[in-house]
Amino acid sequence: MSTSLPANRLPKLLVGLVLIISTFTSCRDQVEHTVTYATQVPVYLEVSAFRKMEVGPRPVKTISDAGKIYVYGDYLFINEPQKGIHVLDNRDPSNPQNITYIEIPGNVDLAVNSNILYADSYIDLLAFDISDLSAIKLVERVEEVFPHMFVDAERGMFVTFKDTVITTTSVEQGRGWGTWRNQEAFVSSDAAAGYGQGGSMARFTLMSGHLYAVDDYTLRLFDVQQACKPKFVKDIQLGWGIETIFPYKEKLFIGSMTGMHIYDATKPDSPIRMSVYQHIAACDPVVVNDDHAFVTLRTGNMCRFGEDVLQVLDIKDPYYPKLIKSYAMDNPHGLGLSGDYLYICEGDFGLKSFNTSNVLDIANNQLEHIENKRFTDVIPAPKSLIVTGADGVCQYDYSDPRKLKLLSCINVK
Amino acid sequence: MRVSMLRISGLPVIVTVILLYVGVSVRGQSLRYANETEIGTLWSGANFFSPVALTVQSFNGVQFARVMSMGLTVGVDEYFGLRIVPITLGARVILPKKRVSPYVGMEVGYGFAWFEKRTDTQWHDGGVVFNPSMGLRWKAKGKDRYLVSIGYKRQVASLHTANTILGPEAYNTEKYTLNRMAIRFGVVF
Repeated sequence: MSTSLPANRLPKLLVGLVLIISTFTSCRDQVEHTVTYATQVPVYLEVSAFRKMEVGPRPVKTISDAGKIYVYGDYLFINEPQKGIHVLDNRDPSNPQNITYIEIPGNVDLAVNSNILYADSYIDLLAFDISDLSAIKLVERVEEVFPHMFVDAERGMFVTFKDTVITTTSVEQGRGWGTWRNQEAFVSSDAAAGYGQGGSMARFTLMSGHLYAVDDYTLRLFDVQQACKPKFVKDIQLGWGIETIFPYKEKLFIGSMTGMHIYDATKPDSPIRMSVYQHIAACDPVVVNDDHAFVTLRTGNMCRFGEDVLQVLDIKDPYYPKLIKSYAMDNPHGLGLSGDYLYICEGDFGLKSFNTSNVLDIANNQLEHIENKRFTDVIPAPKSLIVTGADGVCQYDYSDPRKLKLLSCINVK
Repeated sequence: MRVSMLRISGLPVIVTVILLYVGVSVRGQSLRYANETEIGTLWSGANFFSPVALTVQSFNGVQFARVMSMGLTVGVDEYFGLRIVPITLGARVILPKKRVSPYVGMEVGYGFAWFEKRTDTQWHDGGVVFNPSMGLRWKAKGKDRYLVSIGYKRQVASLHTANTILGPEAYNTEKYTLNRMAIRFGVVF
């Protein structure tokens, strides 16, 4: 019996074995899949609830997000998307002073005419008297003039979109003995459902006593000859993907995702289409002078078939715009023209300046490239070049166009 | 990784307190350098990567009398698809016997994914590692010479991959929690 196990040790051994086996089988790997992405979610609002929201001047507050900018006299207006407008005293561009804030729910765009500030507020157009900045007054509300947001007009429901970061998580257990998986196989494709890049932004411009606002499909016309009493005139259908509007000498240049529309606005209340310059789908702001239009096309989420270029068009005959030349860019967004000097915001790639006196040779006439900032739009204002983007609003002295001098930066967040 | 690192930042404090306590309580007794070098396997019943991973580790520390040792453990765990460098604080409590002494051990620390390739679109992060174990050590030529142990090892690690479909700032994260049974053989110096 000396070779067999002692009887008293057998139960211990069995218990040990059971323990080991159960430990082993209960050891299971686990993986938690998380997908994080930035998107926009729809927010449904009732008209009655929205009209009860507070509107009007508020004490100065720090700028947490910079949207559209607008220059009026010595004042700089910075939109805080969906929330309101910051007003800054910009008499000294190297030291702009935040002087007041106007709370406007759903605001994305603005324009100022004879001390009257026009601002959209979801579906309404508001007019504020800003002649006394210490006592800004809401003087007019033109109701339901941006009806493209309505999802249910009868019940008074409209939809807006809010930027958000979504994280979705799912947990998976290991799949049993022997499933040997490589991590490359693990890049999950679930949660691909998103709400897309929806949302619509009106774009405002003023010309000949009229306020022109564009949204995705429509040019909306307001008579503002009596500045504090904006009157809705009419809608003009433009086709899809309208992005920007630029007024120049009684003409309107409208950038859309498929091309550039030129409208004759000699009769401001009934602009007439002169031509449409078509190109492949891309996002495209536009600026012009007497002879040329400068259009940037860029690739992006909404413009996935695009290319990153600057196009120069001959518009001497606005009925027949002709492409002169195309220049490769990094990721061009907004642009500004001051005399012969063209400033192009390159998104994450900063700001570039060009001398355009020879439109056939712009690439070789790049003057500067400011690389360390993210810029999306630029205004060549009388005192300074104002550039806005994800990092904030910066101003440059551009009295010597060959050498921009940084005056100030308002950083956001 | 930053969050996980913070989570374990209290650990050195606790260990220092224990070391001081033990230091005081065994004052006068012999302190000597201890090294245990082990190789082994990490087993999973339901797995990602390989069901059997390889592990090597080296414990370096001080031994108080013959009952306790504390120190730092550095190792490499090859999960075949993921290679982790766990750096842990370790402790052993030994029940001294004539020939075969049972003991329990504990390792707590952080496993680094230093060996994994990092690109702008794909990178790994390590994570917290926790490894209790029990085993036996054999005496040979008058001192403990060999050991076998069985334990549980929990290692957290993540893989981040840019998700180009959902946009420029979108990414997928796979956070692995690897629950493994560890069986090791080692030599004691």
